[in-house]
Amino acid sequence: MKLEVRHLRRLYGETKALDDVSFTIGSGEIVGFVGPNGAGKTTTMRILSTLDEPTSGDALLEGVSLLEHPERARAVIGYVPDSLPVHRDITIHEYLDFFARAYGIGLRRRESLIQSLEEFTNLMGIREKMLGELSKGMKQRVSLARALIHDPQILLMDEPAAGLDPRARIELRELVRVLAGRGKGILISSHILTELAEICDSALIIEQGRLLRSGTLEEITAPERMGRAMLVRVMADHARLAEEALLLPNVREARLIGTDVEIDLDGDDQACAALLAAIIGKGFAVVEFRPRLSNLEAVFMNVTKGDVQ
Amino acid sequence: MRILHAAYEWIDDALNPIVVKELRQAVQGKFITGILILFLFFQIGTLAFSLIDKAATNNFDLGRETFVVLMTFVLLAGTLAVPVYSGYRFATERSDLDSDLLFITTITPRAIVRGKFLAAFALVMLFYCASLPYMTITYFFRGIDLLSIFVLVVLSLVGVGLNIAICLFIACLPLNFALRIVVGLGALMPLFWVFGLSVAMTSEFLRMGIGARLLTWGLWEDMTPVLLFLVFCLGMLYVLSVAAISPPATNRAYGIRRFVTGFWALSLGIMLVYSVKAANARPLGAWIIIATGLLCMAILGAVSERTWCGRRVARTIPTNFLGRRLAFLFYSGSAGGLAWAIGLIVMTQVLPVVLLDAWGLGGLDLGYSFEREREGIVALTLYVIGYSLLGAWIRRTFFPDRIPVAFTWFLVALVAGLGGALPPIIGFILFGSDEEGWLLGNPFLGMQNGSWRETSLLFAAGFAGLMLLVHLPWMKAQWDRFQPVGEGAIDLDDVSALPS
Ligand SMILES: Nc1ncnc2c1ncn2[C@@H]1O[C@H](COP(=O)(O)OP(=O)(O)OP(=O)(O)O)[C@@H](O)[C@H]1O
Ligand SMILES: [Mg+2]
Repeated sequence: MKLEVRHLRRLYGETKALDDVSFTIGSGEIVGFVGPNGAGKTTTMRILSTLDEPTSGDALLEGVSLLEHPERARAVIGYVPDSLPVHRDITIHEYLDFFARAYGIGLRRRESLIQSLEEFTNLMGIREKMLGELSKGMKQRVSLARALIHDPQILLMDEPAAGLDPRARIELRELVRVLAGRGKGILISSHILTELAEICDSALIIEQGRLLRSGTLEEITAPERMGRAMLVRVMADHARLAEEALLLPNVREARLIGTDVEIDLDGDDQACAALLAAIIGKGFAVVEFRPRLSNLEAVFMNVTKGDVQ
Repeated sequence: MRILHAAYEWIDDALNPIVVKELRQAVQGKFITGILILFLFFQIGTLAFSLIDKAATNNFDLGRETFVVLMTFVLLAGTLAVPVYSGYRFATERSDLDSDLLFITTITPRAIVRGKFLAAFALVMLFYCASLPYMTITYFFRGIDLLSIFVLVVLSLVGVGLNIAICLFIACLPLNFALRIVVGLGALMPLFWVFGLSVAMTSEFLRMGIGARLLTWGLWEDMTPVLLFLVFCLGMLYVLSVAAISPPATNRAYGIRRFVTGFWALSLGIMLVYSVKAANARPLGAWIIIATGLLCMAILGAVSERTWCGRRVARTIPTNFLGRRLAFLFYSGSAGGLAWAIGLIVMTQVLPVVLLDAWGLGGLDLGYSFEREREGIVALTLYVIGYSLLGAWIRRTFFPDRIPVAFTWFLVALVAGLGGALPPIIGFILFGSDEEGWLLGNPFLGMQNGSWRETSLLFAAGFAGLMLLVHLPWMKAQWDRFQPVGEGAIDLDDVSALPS
């Protein structure tokens, strides 16, 4: 199933929460959605989940307008909000049961479905807990299980990793991969870019409601990979490395940061490999050689300005 | 066993999800449990008090009095506590910031409203059940019979249903927090009103011994119009609530207009039969006045509706001659809504009289002051038409972007207020005149029992006629635009595709 977002615009009074945002999510595709606070990520997801309406623009699901037929969209879109709405006095299991009923899933399928979802999201042991008593990470899992109840073809996840413990984060990444493997298109927002970069096929960078860059990870990080900062750690003689590195080809700048040497480099991956070879060739014992920022982080820092409206 | 299981499965699937969830939450939550305990405490207290009383005195009305007190407690819970609690919960689920995810499941708006209603009703039944044993004990005191108890319990459920519907309707309205508080406080009036009437009805019916009169025509002669009106209120609140939570692209006006038209025809039929049977057309006269008044509100609603029905609705417009014309009247859209409301008002005024004549009952008395009241309500209707169209025109011409079409009614109220208040002030200041003629802009002038009724009727007719004339080209344009849209690719740069 393909979701095409076209010219979305959403105004809150004077604030342009979204300004002409267009992108496409194909089936099986994982799209990262990044941007500073207040960029419009949540707004986009709320509109796509039909919780909110755009001031103008629309989104098409297999050519069917989301505004015209929100009911059809609801049947194929799952939404994991950034916070679980308050439902007191109800257990996890009853909560999931309620949503399964609301999606019209009959008794015969419901029990086994909910059970499998609880296993999938690791909720089995706490299914009788009250919703109000859950920790943030537990709520996040309930939210994910709820979003998956009607087996949506498009999944919108608003900062699903926030509040999860390290193990759960890794598990979540696996879950997302599994879901994409089943052909679901996934839009996932996160502020932890290194994690996001590991699972996404493509990414959207948004700020102040405007889409700044979009495309596959390769495409959008290409400009930044042309000039980047590398961090080099050597066994000894780091001061000497900082001086001598300046003489190597393509090196623009080199400085000492603690015991690490940061080298600003012009050029692509080729130049990077050549630099490493040259440093080793000069007899330095290299312990670590890595980009100072991950590719996506570098793009993010370059493209966004950090202004809030 | 297999059949039992199949039956269980069928029942489970047919259950409204919301009822299941709300009851689970109510059982596990503290509020309802707390109220229930308090409630039982009061019931037992009342009964104990009566028992002591019974031993001490020889009160022949003790059963009746005790029952009224018990019933008051039940009604406090059933018409006030539970409805307000249910409405409040529903409203918090629907607040803008934290819209409940239930609304983006595939459950239909009807199922949501029905589920909320049934859940609240089930909670009220809990209170009734808790109270029934005590109520029946009053039978062993004096002055009450079991049939009366039963009838009163059933009748009181109408008030319960009405108040639940009112609270849920307010919760459905797309309002922000502050406005919702204002509207909610305003709604307290009808809520208390229904509560008070229910209590009054209980003691009044007991006094006249309803159990014995249940099968007499006299009772139903008095009750029919009232019951009819209550059913109308319930149905109207239901269709309005459903429309309020339906997606904007849907045919929201259709359900409302269909219900109003259907109920209009049904109640007209019942009132006619009733008039003939009772040889008394006064209730029919009252029906004409009330129906016209209610339809005036439909005019205000129509001008506040979107101009074009939107692509989704347009896809469902029938292509045949009659179908398209009917659809124009009933489908979402301002022009069609106006035509529908005005047409229905004209029929309300004309049809009953014609039908009575046809029945050979033209001489029947429609009510002592019917003609006067009718002139008043017609004048009011004409003013409403005039001001509504004027307001709609002002919005379209001067503030098409500034004021959302949904708030046209507010503009209309403003313009009507100015129309009533400004001329006398101007007249007094500029001309030093306090003649009543300056009051002609006041929509309520015609309702007064004064010498001005005829003048205001003429003035209002001229005003409404002029505004209608001004609107004719616009109406024509809307009718021309009301065309079926085929399936097909969507041009997203075509902004007009969205309802506006
Ligand atoms: N209900 C609202 N009323 C007014 N303005 C709003 C509302 N919701 C969002 N906004 C504004 O819209 C803009 C986008 O907000 P949004 O929540 O989409 O940002 P976000 O990208 O999700 O940010 P974060 O990373 O902090 O979650 C912000 O400027 C915000 O102030
Ligand atoms: Mg957000």
